Amino acid sequence: MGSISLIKAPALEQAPFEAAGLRLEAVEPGPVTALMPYRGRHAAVATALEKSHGLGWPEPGQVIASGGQRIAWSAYNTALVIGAELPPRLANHTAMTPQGDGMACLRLSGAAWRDALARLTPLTFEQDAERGMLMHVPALFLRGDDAVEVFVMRSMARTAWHELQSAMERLAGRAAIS
Amino acid sequence: MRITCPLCGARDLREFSVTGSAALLNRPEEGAELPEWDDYLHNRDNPAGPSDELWYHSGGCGAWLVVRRDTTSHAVLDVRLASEQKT
Repeated sequence: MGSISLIKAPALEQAPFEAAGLRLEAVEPGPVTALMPYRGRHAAVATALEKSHGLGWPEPGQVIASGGQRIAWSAYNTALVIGAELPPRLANHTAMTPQGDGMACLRLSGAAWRDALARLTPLTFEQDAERGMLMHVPALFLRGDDAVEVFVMRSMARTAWHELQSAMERLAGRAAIS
Repeated sequence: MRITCPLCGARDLREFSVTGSAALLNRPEEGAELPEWDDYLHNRDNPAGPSDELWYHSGGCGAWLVVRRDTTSHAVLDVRLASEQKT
């Protein structure tokens, strides 16, 4: 399935922002496709993805990675395939929705990324993939060791950026007076 | 109040919205008599105690949940996916 791009400009054109030992940047995750397997077809989808990309079907909260390609649980009966083109025949088992430019990805890196996010969401990031609210922006959080990727709808990307940048600034402000 | 979503874990009340009685899952069969539809659409028990309700996890995974909740204490007794309850 070819990637779809209806919009020329990237969702975020801000330069990377650094504060409080953290770095915030917009990243281009590559093609993102949402999969929603038809009833009872999860095993077939898992097998097909295993064969074609070395992936599988993730349990809730799970991310399966292989090379630069990932499949991340993203909602009820839904997972996002990130960074991989998918064979059209997979559509026999699952609805496939290319996200195109509809999704923006913000990457927050630095050892203290949890401190910044603690100001924006009650999540404690005990799983690799979690859905929640970044203030009032619905978001998918993919946890790494020293970084987290925040996937939001493109229409809310600048709001999400503003929230994250503000949290970093306040974290730096707090550190400066204590 | 917290609701333990079967997919997301324990989450704050503000991530959810409530729709009403889980009786909505028991849709009458096609061709059912009008009184049956009347019951389904309008008539509800109003129990003081354990009560099954439909909740939507809008701020999380987007699943519909059947939440068994004690209306006198707000204690959440059980949470299940509506899709599993239905079949």
